[in-house]
Amino acid sequence: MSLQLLCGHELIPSFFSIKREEMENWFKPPACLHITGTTCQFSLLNADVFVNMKVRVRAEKGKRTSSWNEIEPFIPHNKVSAEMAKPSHSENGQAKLSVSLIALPAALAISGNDIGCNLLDPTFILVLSYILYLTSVTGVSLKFCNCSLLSTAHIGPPGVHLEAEDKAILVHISQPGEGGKMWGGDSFDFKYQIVFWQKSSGVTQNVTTNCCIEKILELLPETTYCLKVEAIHQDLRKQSNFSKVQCINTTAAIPPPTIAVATTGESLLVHRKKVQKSPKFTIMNLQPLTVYCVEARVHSFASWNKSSNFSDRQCEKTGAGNSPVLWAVIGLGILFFSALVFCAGKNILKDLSHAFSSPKPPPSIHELFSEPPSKNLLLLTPEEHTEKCFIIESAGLATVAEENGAPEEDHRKYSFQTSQDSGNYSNEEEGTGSESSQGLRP
Amino acid sequence: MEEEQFSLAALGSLCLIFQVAASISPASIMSNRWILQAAFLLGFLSITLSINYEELERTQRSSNSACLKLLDQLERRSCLGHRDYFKFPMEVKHPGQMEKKDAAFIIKVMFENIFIVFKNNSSSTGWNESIVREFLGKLHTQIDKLRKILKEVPENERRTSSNYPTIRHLKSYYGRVRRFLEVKEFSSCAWMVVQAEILRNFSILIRLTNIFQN
Repeated sequence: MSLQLLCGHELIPSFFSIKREEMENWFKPPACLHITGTTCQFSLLNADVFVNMKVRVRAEKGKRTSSWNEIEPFIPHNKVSAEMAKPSHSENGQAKLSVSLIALPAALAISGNDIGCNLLDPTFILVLSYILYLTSVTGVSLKFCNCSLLSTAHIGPPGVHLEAEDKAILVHISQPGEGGKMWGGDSFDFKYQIVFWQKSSGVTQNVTTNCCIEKILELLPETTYCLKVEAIHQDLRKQSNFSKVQCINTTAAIPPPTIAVATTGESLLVHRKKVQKSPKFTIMNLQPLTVYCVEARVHSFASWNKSSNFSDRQCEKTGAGNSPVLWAVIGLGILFFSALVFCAGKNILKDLSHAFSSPKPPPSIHELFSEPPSKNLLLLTPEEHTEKCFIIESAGLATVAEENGAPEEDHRKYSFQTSQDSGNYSNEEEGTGSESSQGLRP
Repeated sequence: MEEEQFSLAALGSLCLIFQVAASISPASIMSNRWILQAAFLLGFLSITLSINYEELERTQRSSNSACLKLLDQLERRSCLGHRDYFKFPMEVKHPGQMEKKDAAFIIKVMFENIFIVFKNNSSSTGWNESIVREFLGKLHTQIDKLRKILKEVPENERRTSSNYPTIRHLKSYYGRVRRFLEVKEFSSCAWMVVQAEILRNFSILIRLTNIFQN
């Protein structure tokens, strides 16, 4: 909060003090005791900015003082619009170079050079009216000036911190009076207007944001941009001062890579061209005989996860592949096809042979079949007796043998084999089928 | 008068005017029909654009409950209290015949300031950080809803610290809460005192939410 005396350039010793409505004693801000400038700024410290305050001011020179001039009560947080405070009565200062804050009727004559008075924008100030009574250096003429003691309370600028990427700027914003008492409870009431421009062109652009971090995109790389931010208190409908202009360079862009793609069977091999020791990437388990297209970009983790644009697209067709499954399928297919062809051919030949053969068998064939069939053919008639032969060994015998210590030859007699004889055997007692079986022993 | 009541009254008046005029001069009514239609439309719009307090009550009640439950989950220890130090504004504690719109603005300010308080460093407490984050998340969600709804209120009807002393008193109160934490350097005990104070805030919030029912 600042108090300014805006009349002329005379050094005006001033003494400001603040009184809170609830307190008896006036508080004297150290920064504003016995100042000689025309501006005094003081911190409200732990003062409650939501209660009414009074400010009074007087001029002093040596032991002589003017009377107090008091500002109408105001609430620091709200900063109501300009109003004229009623002047209070006070004494005249009379010494040379003495300055007295005097409230006199406006009709008082003004002589000598008028001192220009400036009034600030009244929309955010409290205005005291007083009449400044000055004496010139010579002490001869009196100069009067109907000026104003302006109590200005500003919303300070927001805090701004910038970070640059290749095509973007990150704007970190902290609310006005960060850590202070004035706006501590108003975080949700602020929005921020960012004004930025390319330094070379000066053409401004605006971005509005509610909070904290805003990323400005689609900027040119390696370019200087400048930026300032103001805070707007939506409830009070007041704007802060702009922050100091800050400029920053966007970083160099990462160029997109140039890639080459080659096929190795069912895989694609991708590597970066024009770069030594570039890693190679193999993309495996692809479909054979299929066209695949590849685009790649460079990703940097060094700063803010920058990336390049994608490379040009490269397309390649995968080969037939060495898939064992595929070969197995192909093999089976060939086998199946071959078997099919074989069977079909066999049938065709058979059909053909029947179609072209005579009713009588050829003589050579007849000779072969001259003997009664029963002599030459292995036929098992239902009446023919077959006998199953078993070589039996029982568990009990083995056990007994072991127990009795029977010699091994007993064991050899019995083995764990069973077999079935084909039934063709030479049996003189039965005398059947002996001749036919001789030549056809299994 | 509440906005809804005003709108309904306006619509009712227009109906009455229409009927009276129709009975007097049907011809003139026909010629000025478009004016009356426009008036009906405006009346209808004024109803639709006013705050839906039923919906607001529902979401606020749900948010109060969820936030209170989370705040209650944070570990509590008894510390020397400063129960009267903070001086919660009496007119909010005992809202009496407060208007719904005023209650909505007050609830918004309370939620915002509770959020701001709990955004501070509470690591000294040993509280489960995920519960604190969830608590802040629930608060923020409802703050967004309240701000969106109250943005529809015409500017000259909004309640701010400039034109409504109760808002000022509330902000002053939360300023004292924040200052207390700062002075006590965000100690665990200071947080316990603040936690107890904000828990009391929620019983007041529930009372304010009930106003929407009337």
